[in-house]
Amino acid sequence: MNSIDLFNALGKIDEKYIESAVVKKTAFYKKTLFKFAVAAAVICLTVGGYGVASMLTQTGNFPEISYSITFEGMGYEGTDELSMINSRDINPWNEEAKVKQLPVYKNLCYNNGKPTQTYFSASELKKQAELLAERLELKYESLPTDGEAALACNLETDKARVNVFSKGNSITVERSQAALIEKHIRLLSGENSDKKAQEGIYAAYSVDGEHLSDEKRIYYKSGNITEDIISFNMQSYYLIEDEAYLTGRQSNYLNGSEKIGDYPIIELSQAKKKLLRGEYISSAHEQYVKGGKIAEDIIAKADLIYYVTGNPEYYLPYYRFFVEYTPGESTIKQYAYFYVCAVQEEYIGEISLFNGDYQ
Amino acid sequence: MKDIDIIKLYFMRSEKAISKTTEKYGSYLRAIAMNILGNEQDSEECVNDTVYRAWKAIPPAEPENLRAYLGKIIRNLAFNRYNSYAALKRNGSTTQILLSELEECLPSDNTVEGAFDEKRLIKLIEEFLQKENEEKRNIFVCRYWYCQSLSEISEGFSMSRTKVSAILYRQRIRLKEFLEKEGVTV
Repeated sequence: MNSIDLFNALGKIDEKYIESAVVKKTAFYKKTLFKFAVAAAVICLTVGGYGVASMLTQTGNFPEISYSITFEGMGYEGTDELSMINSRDINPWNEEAKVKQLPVYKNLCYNNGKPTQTYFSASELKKQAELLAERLELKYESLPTDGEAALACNLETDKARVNVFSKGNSITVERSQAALIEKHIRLLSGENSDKKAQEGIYAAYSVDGEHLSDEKRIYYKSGNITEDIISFNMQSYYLIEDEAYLTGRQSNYLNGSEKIGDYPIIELSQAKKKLLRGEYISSAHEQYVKGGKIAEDIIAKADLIYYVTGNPEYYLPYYRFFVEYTPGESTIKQYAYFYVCAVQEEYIGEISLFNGDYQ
Repeated sequence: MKDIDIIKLYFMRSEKAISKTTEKYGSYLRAIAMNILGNEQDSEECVNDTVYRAWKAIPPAEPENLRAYLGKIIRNLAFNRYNSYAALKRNGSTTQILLSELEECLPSDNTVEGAFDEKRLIKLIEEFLQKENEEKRNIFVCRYWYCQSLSEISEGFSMSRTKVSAILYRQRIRLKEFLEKEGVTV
């Protein structure tokens, strides 16, 4: 028996496993007009995309934009007490900073739920991969063809695989060794010599309390709170390691996006009121929070982040609340994330979108 | 259109069956082929071949789950194509990595060449999957059935790549141990 036999045998497993893996997680917005039958299980199972959106109406010089978070995959977004205790969070936002406004960016790769638009051409991707390989002194035999590099340039080198993705927001150095990743970080530090590198650790644990991993995250701090929030959320470097391999991922969501404007934002206390009124977006069900209803005493923490995953139409700031969650059997305390858009309410007109696609 | 209505079109030998299948499941099928082949043109051809195969097979076949039925066909077609390219050194490295990961699951006393009991192996894999919790089971299937990249799985399951990678790593160890325990050697 070899790996191909195993691959082929896997291809013949019962269809229920194949079907189960493609269901996607539904996003819930309390004010949505759409009611779903809530299963007894924590996870919400629908097939196809479900997006939730609100509209920011045009006020003064602010262009009309919309925002959305689409959660995909199984389960809910959240964390647990062990991860919180054992992580070193470097999010520069804090309530005392009294940030009054923050930039909003239009994602130029957004394609209304269809496959992602490309930002860089194949030749540009190849150039970037070549340049990074050269700077890291990596050797390779040949570059991919333009066809192969249409969506991402994957360059196999003697020491690692360099991937440059067409959205322009991510470059990874995969299956690498520590020395090479350190070199990559040194390059970035050189480019940010006027800033101070901040290193955080984000631990992950299973529901049984088994330690799964520690992810290192680096961003470059200038001292200007707005710049630092953007740098942390849009331009972090991630060092991902486990027993199997080491990967460095340089994110830059400012590539492939354009700034729409600096929008006034609400304070944390206002966001909390909205949360308690049910004006949130979450992949978790409120019925499973401790006590069955969100209350002050079960909010363990709040921070401010830009939600950048899932290829949203705009990159916007959200307050993220860590709410105690009791979805099922777990030996450690769990927290689900509940998001409240940080942009001031006067700019938000409410609509809820459901694309009807249950493919 | 509901699957049952599409299948009716196949039974009626209406060519609308083909357009409706492509309309509903084209992107799903294309994604599986792209994961394995990493090439748009080849993936598109696999989608066409898959629908053609379905046209030839239904009837008499009457799939209970059309999506999974078509998914199985395209996974097989795409992997056959991958193998033929591998012989020509035009192979996609993602699938190579995936196969090298599966190597880790092979029992260590796997020294005897030749035929093996595939049906039993499938049964054991299903038994292994059944023991995993739902989320981990789905992650495993996304990786080794749908051949998704770590980034895709990470986005799809809203967890970090590190976490996905760690889960898969432990699953490979568990599968290997399980197969060894069950005496899979040939």
